[in-house]
Amino acid sequence: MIDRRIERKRYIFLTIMREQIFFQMDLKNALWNAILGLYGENGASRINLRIIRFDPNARFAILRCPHKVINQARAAIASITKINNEDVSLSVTRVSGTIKSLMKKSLLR
Amino acid sequence: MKRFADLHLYPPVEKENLTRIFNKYAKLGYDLVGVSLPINVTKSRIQQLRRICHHEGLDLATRLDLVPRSVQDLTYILRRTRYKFEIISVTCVSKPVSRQAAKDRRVDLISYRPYSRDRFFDISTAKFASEALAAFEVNMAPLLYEKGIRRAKVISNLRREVRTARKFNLRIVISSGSTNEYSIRTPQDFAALSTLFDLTPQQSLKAISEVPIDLIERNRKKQSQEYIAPGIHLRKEKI
Repeated sequence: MIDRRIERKRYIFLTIMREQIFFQMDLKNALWNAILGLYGENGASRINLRIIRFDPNARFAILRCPHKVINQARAAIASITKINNEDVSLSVTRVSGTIKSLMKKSLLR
Repeated sequence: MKRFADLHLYPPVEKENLTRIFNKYAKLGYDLVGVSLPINVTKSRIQQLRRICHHEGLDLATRLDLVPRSVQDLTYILRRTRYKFEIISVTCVSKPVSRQAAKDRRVDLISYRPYSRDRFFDISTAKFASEALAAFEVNMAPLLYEKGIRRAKVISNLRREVRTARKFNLRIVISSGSTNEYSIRTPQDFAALSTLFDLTPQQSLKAISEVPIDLIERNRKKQSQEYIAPGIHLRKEKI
């Protein structure tokens, strides 16, 4: 039985394309700036994007957001073109309801 | 399974960069890429592009971007180039050009400059374009690269134009307008971005998959030797 009070989550597998390595804080700043730019403070509070895992060497990150705002989160992620004034391309390659299935699907890919 | 197409790539000259870009397209799940070429492109250049595309498992469509200053310019260039390219896109810079491009059945895509104050896309243009089976092209590059007020204006213009296009059942095509590998996104990401100008994710996915692929297939049929006139095809082999 699903408890309706608990907000359902979506986990996003993010593939990073960039020549130079950057830190988790840089990614976090870029994500929040993109969300604030597109949806404002009210929208940002609803999207509430969190970085769950970040691997700068393997160039991937796992993010979490509520399932109702997955499209807004995707749009904000897609709108990021630079991190620390360097070109970057962030692509959402997989979205899933659990980290386990997300890793399974993404690594299989 | 859905096939995805991006009809607008400005290809770099270097072969290495080209390979990288096509490789990224293939990885992100695209099946067809429309490459914008100059009017005097050579056959060897097209063959080179096709070879790289096929190596990455992609289909290539040749595209010509026109920015005519007058109606005469437009009809003259169309007469000379239509048979050479699979897609013809017209960027409208004046109202007469916009109307003529919408009426002309040789034009596949109608687009407008993102920052222009007069974007000339009105009800009549949408109606004519819908009757001529053309499509309204939304270029996503300005949405990605603009920030602040300029992006807000781009979104506002697009929202108004998309609403007009949908009112007259004019088909919409979403393309990246990319010049490098950093501005390519997955079709689902473009669909998510399209929700900014009030397209539903389903409509956006259609604008990246069914509509552009249908457009290319229709034009390929037209350019084949079996095609005679609209509705008339050669079915019997030549003796």
